[in-house]
Amino acid sequence: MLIDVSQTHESSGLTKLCDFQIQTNGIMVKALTSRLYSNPISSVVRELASNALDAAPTQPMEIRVPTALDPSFRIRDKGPGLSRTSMVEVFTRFGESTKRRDNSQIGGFGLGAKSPFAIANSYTIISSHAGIQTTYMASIGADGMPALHEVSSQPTNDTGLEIIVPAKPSLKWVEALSQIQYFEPRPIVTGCTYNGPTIIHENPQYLVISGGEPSILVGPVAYPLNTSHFQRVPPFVLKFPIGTIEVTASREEIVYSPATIQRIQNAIDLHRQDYLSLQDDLVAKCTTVPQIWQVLKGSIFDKTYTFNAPGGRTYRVGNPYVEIPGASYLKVTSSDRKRKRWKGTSHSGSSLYFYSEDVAYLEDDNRKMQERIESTLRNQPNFSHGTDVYVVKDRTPFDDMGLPIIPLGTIPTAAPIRKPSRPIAHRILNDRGALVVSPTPCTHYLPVTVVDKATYWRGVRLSRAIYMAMCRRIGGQIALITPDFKGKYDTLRDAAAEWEAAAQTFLDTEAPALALYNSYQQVDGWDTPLYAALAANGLLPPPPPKPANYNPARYYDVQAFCSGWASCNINYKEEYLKVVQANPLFTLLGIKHWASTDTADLTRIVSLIK
Amino acid sequence: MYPHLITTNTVTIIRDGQTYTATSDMQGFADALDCIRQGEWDAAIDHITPRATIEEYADGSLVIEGDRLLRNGTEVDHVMVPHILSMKEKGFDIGPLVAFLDKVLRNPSMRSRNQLWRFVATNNIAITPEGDLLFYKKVQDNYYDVHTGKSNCYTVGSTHTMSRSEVDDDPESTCSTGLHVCSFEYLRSFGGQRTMLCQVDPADVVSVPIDYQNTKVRVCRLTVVKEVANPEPLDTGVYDDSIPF
Repeated sequence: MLIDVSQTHESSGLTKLCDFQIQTNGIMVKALTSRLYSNPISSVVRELASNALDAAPTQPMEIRVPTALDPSFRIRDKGPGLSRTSMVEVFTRFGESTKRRDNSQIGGFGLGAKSPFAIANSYTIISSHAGIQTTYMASIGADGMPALHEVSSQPTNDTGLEIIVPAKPSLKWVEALSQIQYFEPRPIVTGCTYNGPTIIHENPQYLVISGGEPSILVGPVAYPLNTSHFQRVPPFVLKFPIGTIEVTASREEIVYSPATIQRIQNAIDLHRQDYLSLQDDLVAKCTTVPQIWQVLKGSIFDKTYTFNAPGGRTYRVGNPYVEIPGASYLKVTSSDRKRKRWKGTSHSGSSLYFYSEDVAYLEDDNRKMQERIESTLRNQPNFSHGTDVYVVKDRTPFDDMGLPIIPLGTIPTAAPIRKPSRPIAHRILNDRGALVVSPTPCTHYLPVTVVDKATYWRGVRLSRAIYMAMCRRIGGQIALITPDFKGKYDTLRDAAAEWEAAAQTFLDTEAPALALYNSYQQVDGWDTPLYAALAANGLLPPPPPKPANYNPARYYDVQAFCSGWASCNINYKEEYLKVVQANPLFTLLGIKHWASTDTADLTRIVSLIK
Repeated sequence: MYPHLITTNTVTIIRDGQTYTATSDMQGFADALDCIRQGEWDAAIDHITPRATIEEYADGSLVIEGDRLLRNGTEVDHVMVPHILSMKEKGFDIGPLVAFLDKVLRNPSMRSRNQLWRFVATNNIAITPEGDLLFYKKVQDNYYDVHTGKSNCYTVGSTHTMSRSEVDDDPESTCSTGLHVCSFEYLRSFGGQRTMLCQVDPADVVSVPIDYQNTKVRVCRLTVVKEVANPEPLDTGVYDDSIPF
């Protein structure tokens, strides 16, 4: 890159005292390496890749991003390599560049080759030049000054330069590849999954990529365009030759000087109309309306297109909407969606302007079905505030245009069978008509009666399926007591008082015992023959007394019931492990779990431990 | 002695013309320096690049070819490497991890697999001995799901499924349809009163939305393992029945 430093300088009557100088010390080196770049990783990739492209413009370079198996960034070009003299010039002299003769090469500031110091204090360079492969290491010494070291040499038939920079694996390395995504020939990238951009159109002045943002290419290096400096920028990638656009010394950004802004604006103005005709061509190739919207994404032109559907119908498409003429639909606003039954505004025979983010459902003739579905859709998460919801009668236009439409009848309903009553904590009925005590407040209270194994709800006999559906709505894990009430009462209301009292007694008297039982269950191994055998021989503390009315079969999921109640203070498991694990014979015997029930094993263990 | 260079934040060793180099923020840096100072050059290289360590630990169940980590000929993402090393360090058997990888590779969608690797890259992976992932899920006080409050009741032991095709596999859709689970980091953003620990077959993971640093996951099948009163971050490791909280 040609860098013009010539300035007008005329004077008289002045005596020049001295020239300014730049000190060569660690601080200056830091300023020109680690402190120069705001995005060091991206800069290392861009600088080293630019150098590799300059060295071998026709052969693809090889890039390996850091991985956990090899935590280093590696880049290799197939150029001629560097002689020892050139190595010293390029790698040890800041401001030294061999690329200032013309604009055919990207570099020029004489900083890029040193950019790895921005992320690491050393890096390795392997140069294969004139039949000799030499390995060098560049490092920052104790005084902050960099030095180049030669490691070894060996004969080779290869040529080229490989740079190895130690680096932690990070997604930033993959993201950094975006700045070199237009390099030709395409770099061969390994160590990550990297797909370059999908170029939809390319000509010498600009290129268009799928879903692209406005940006510019200076030579092969891509820079995002700060559109606040410009007017009416189509989403294309403008190409500029090296040297025509000023970049910062770090080459991370474009310098938005008045001249540069003017140059870029001129190019935008020149190609804007071009881009419009290209857009027309691209739209003409689209076979569905969503494809057209994709092309028009970010477009600055307020232009509508005619879309000819396969059935001979035509629609007008804009950015990003489509006009459906003569439609019958119900438009449901945000507040209407909250209602049990959607009200909305009915339209018939007018044009529906359907935007890309809108949602359409096909109406169902069955009103009851419709209502259930509407209540289901109230919970749809993808309705943002900008989304309009339509219920339409005719799906033809949507099929024509390749737009998604959802037939309401296919949506599964999650509508409650019955609205939850006021929560009654801890007391519900189970499907056997028994009073159920739950550790959690339950939202449902099923006032059912059980007569001769049939379940009645408000006088209506419930089928098994419906009854199970109702039961599924009961939350929480349950513990069960079965007071003998069957046939005693016709309705829950009659039974409620007595049941409530029964439940209270249950909670007061049996819950602590249940909790104890539960804690036994949680202590793996307490309730095992091995524990009993060890305890009987005085090797473990005796087990705590069994709860009154101890009958595991009586309790359903006691663990859950008890979790909210008392817990046992003795850590039996710990005690147990102390004894068992302290003796290596236990593992040697090959018994890996203390729940072993093999009597022979148990006897052996006990005798061995003794 | 091999040619080597140690700086404040890098170490480089050259053995047989091959360069082995790492920065100080890598796991094995300090160990590599120790080995160099004791003259154990090959051991130092093993700390810089964990190839030999992994091959020894995996004992044939994982193969490293060039830059690729392979399980039965299928490439496993490099993001697994720190987890493999962590499992080894903690003394876990390779079995559950291999089971986990087999299940990941059985995930029918490449898109989902790639998103799962992204999750693995930024989170610890807590797995069961069968290789299933453990996640948290917040539910309401009555164990119903937070979103609708009436669709699913996540009691302990219950299994919930959704047709895979109904679960949104677009990571850009940050809030969408699917059974949601998360890592510890996301819990505070997850409404609900109770925290359940759920077991998910990696093959049932559909997408990892891009918000919240990849801590939220949409799946099509999950089983509730237990209720957790005081959830803690799950470290990378194998968890059997005795989850400590």
